[in-house]
Parts: sequence; structure tokens; C-alpha cells
Amino acid sequence: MPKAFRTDLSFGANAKEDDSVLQGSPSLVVESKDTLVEEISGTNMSVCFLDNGRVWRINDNGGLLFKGGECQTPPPPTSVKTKVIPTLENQWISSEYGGPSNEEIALGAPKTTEVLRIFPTKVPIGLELNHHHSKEAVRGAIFSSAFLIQRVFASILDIDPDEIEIGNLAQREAGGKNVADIVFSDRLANGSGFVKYLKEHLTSVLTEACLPVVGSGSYADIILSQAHLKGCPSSCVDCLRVFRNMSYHGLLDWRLAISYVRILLNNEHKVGLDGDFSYPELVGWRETATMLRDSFIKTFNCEQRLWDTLPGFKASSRVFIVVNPLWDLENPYGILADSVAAAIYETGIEPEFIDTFNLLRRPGWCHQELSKVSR
Amino acid sequence: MMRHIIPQLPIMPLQRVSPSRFTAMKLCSLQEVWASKCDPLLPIFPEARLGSVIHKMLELSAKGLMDIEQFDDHWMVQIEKVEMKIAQIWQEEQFVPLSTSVKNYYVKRALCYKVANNILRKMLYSRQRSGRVNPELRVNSPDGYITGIIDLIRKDNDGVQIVDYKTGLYMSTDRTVKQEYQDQLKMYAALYFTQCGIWANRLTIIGLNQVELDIPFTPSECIDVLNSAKQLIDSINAKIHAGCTQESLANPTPESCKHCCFRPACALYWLYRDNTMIWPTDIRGKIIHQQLLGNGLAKVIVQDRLSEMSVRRLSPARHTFLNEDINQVILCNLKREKSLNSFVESQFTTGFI
Repeated sequence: MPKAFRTDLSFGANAKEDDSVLQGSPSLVVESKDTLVEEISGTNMSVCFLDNGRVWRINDNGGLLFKGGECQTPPPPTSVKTKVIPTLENQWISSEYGGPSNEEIALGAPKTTEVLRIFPTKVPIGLELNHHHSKEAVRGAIFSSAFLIQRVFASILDIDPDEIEIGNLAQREAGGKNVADIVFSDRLANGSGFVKYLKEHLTSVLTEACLPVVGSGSYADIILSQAHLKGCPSSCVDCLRVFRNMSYHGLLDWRLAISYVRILLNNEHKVGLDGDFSYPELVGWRETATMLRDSFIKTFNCEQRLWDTLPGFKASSRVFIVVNPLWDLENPYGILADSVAAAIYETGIEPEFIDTFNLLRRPGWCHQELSKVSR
Repeated sequence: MMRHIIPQLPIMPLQRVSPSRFTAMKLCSLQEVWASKCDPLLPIFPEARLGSVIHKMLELSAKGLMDIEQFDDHWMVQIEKVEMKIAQIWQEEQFVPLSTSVKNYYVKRALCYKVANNILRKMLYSRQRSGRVNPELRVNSPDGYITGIIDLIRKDNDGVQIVDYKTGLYMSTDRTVKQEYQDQLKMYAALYFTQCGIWANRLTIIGLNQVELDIPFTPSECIDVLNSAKQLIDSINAKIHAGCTQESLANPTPESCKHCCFRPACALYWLYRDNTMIWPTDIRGKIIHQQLLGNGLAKVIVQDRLSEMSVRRLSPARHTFLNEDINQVILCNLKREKSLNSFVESQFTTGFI
């Protein structure tokens, strides 16, 4: 955390245009402190609220870090105009501006404000909510639900969504399984009361997110409208994408966001594993999965298969099932267990899995991953 | 506390051995001697418990005692029976319910359904072809020392087929049926011949994936395996009658001890083993430090004859002796951590003092 910044003390030059573009806002890290965990009754979520949470905005230069080091300034003057610049000791100068390059740092800006953490109390049987699961897909679901809650909340209070900020995910254990905290904090230092209000009205905000009054024209109603449902396969500017979350655009998925919110409300929600695909975000999931499968195998020599009720394919001596990224693949349950059993029964081969999140976004990468495993 | 004390295990002659135990008996006689008379000291894997339920379900199907529509009801009854049993066993009570402790529980259940359905359909087909299916036939050697139950006998115009269902892994790394299962089926064939006077023409293993694998055999091979089993039983019993000690029956090797549920009581096991990865992850020694950590779990430092070892995440509720002033401890089925000589509790960990 720098104590201060300064210019190079010269008269300066015209600013270069767009010479360094940082997409979206730098990440927000919230210090973890021991706080009382409160279960929200009638739901599947627990919260921790802190009125003096320590929040850090970290600028790591897009992951590249800043190179530089301590030195004395200025170097010997080259212009007559710089002769008035005083000699200064212990100056941390970026190597881009003539400093040494013996250190790599990120910049941090801390503040104390109100912080709310939300996490599932219990992982429903058959699901996996560890944010490292499904190659980024669960992480995507959790961030998407955080942005969804942020937007729904802002829509209810008619405030700028940026009044509350979303921090990096933090891992914790719930009922013996790993889950992640969604972290909200007030943008204003010392708190503006929004996050506290969100905590007090969390159930109704989440209910509005997945069960809005039809035809009300609210933000959630628009997301769940037929037009959006048909036109948006993952995320768009009408639902979750805004400038400030640009760095998350690749991860955002409104369907997964709503599924995750339903899990926070109900520990019996199965995300289709019980064969119930009637929820708006799941309507047509099997058809989409089949379409993605067909498109994926078109270029490869694979055999289309239907394993019980789930689409899949057979590639020489390997068998695949297309799955929802929130499903637990270590201990399949419900229709996934039936599908795995069908694949084993018919082929004698343990099936592998490929999820719709990655099939939709990066089929080439999926193919590479499958090749890696086979080697 | 009492349950954490290793009892004195008796050494008594073998009265009856199952063909499925022959390979284990060849590896270590002591293990079989204790298994024939004593309760296991270490937990039986919940996968094996579920395997017994699946076997029972297939038996019910093969005996025609179940319609496929009744599958769910029968499954629940069998699972409840097993869960009630293991809830009474202190080493295994943490495995209830099996649906959460057995990996792929629901897949195995779905596979069991498919196999049971297939058995019922085949039985119907076989009846239509005037063939015969005999489930669960007990076969004994004339002296009664070797006795087993054949899962299924299929008889048709081609001859007799002896079938054994396997619910776990039955292939070895070289992609052949494991030798112990080959020997088991060959012994069944010899026992069937002894009892019924007919040689089977096929010995078949069927897995839950419905793959049927025939084991090649000749009658003389089958007789040889049966005879060698008899000779082994005779030699073990002769040693026991002569008053041998456990050391003369034990054969501690990483392979024979890996699945042995009696190794905490085996003196030679503790003498032969070392702390390398090839041996089971057990420790025995003196507690030199014990600490209750902030998460309510305990950490102990144990000094054995070779080194100091740290064990974390021990549950004082499961290992009640941790609340007492104890000196020596045995901890079996631990999980290794990355750093050397560091371990944590696993769901199979069992402690003795």
C-alpha cells in the first residue's frame, strides 16, 4: 500500500492515449475475521456480517504485477527545466519510468466498511459447490449469482448496483464439503447501510431473483421473460454483463446464477437431477446439451449416444456424458447415476463427463482437455 | 475405553473354509485362523457392506423372490438391515448411512437394478427354453472343511454353467480375472463335481457391468486347487494342534497385511513393517505430546522405534482414549500428509491402546 504517489516533478508531456487499458475494476479482497455465523431460517444459507470489515482493492496490473524498485531520484538531469527537482531518497519508481526492476508488486487500497458473506449451509445431495469444480464453471455460477443478487437488490432499492461491491470468493467448509462465500461490501468507507439492509432482507431479495412477479417489469422478471430465455444462452447486457464486471464476462451465466440462488433458498433443490427441468433456467437444458453435444462431435469421429436420459457420446474406447456443471461427478445421484449406470451397463466402460458450461464457451479447449486425459 | 483394548485372540483349528478365502489363507494362515473365530479389529470397508446388499438383491432375483417393481422396497429393507448391523460395530458406526459413505452408491444401486432385471428376464427366457436356473447352491467337500455357496447354476442342452457375481473390481492389472477369483471358481467346479457328479462346462464371472467373463479350466486343474486348499488347511490345523504360536502362522507382507483386519494384534506385523508407503498407514508408539486444537480435534506426536510422527484431526469422540492419560497407542488406517511423518485421521482410522 503506497503512502503517497507523485509525478516525476517535471512539467510533463501530453498524455498518451489508451497506452494501458485495464478491463473492469481491480479485484476486491476481503480480510477474513472470526464472526458469528447466522443461519437464515427457512432457507439453505448462512451469513456472516461485519460492520468493520477490512476490504482491499488490489491492482495487480492484470496479473502482470508492477516492476520497479527503490532508488534515489532524480537521475542526473538532462533538461534545464529539471534542475529544480530536489534529490529524494527511498523512492519506489516503476521500471517503466527509469527505476530498477528488482521488485514485483501489486498495489493495495484498503478501507473499513460493512461486509456480508453468504454461503450455503448444506450442499444438496448430488451437487458440488466447490468453486474449483467443473473447470471454472462453479466459480462462474457463484460469481454470476453474486452479480444477479447485486442487480436485483439495486433494482429493488432503485440504487446504483455499484453501491455494493463483490469481493473475491473465499473457501469454507459446510457439512464436510467445500463451498465458497459470496462476499458483498459497501462501496463507501465506513459503510452506507446497503449491505446491512441486504442482510436483513436477504430471503426476499433472493426470492425476487428467482421468483419475480410475472409481468412486473422488474430486473428479475426481464431475465426470466420468454424473450430473454430464448435469446440469451449464457449472459448479455440485458442480464448480467456491465462494464465494471468485464473481467468476469466469460464466466457469467444467468441460468447457473438462478440455479445457485435456488440452492441458497432450498437445500432440496437438485438442479434437474430429480428429472425436474420445469424451472425457467432449466427448461430445455437437455435439448441444449444435446445440441452442444452434436455440434462438438460433428468434427470428430464419435458416436452419438443417449445414456438413459442424458446425451453423451462414445469415442473409440471412451464414453462421455454431458452434464450440468453443478452436478457432483464423484458421487453421481438421480438421473446422472442412472445415466452412468446405463453407460457402464451397455459398454462396460466407466464414463467421463463434459459439462455444458465449457462445451458452450470453449469447445476447442474441451477437446484439448479430453486429449490430455487420454494421453 | 474397553473397546479400544486389543483382546487376546485365540488360535484354534480351522473347521470350515470358504473357497473365496483360499487366496487370503495362502497369503497368511494367521489371518484366516483369526477370521474364522473372531470379530475384525479394523472396519470392513462400507463398499464391501454394500456389496453384500447387492449380492442379496441378486440372490432374491435369481430365486424369483422379487419382482422388479419391488426393487426399491427390497433395497431399502436390505440397506436398513446392514446399516443397523454396522451401527452396532464401533469401528464402523461412522459409515451409516451407506449412501454418503460409499462412493458411487447411487450408480451401484442403478446397476444392481439393471442386473436384477436382466436376471429375471433371463430366468423367464430360460424357462421358456426349458432350461433350468438354480440360484444359491451350497457345495461342500466330503470332509466338510471346504464349503461355499455358488451364486447361480445355469443348465441347458449345452451343459452346466457356474456363475459368480462380483460387485467390486475383479480384473487384475494385466487385464485378466484376478487369480483369487479364478481359484475360487475352479474350487466351486471341483466341489460341484464331488457333490453332483457332473463337471461344469463353463465357469463365468459376471460383474455389475454385465460383462460375462469365462475362466478357462480343466477338471484336473480344479481338483489340484481343491486338493491344495485341503492340504493347506490340514497343515495349519496340524501346527495348531501341536501348540504353535501366532508367529509361526503369520506371514506379514505388504500384500497380505493390506486388507487384514487383524493386523493390530499381529506381533510379527509390527516387527516387520516400516514406515514406507508399501505398508498400511499404521503407527504404534509412545505418545510424547498431545494437544486439543481449537477446532475440537486432537493432535498427537507419537514416537515409534524409528521416528517421531505427528497425527492431526483425531476426533476425541471416536477415539475416547484421547481423553485419558495414556502412554502407548496404535492408530491404524491413517491418511498420509505431504510432509514426512505427518498423518491425519481418515474415516477408517481405528485406535487402540
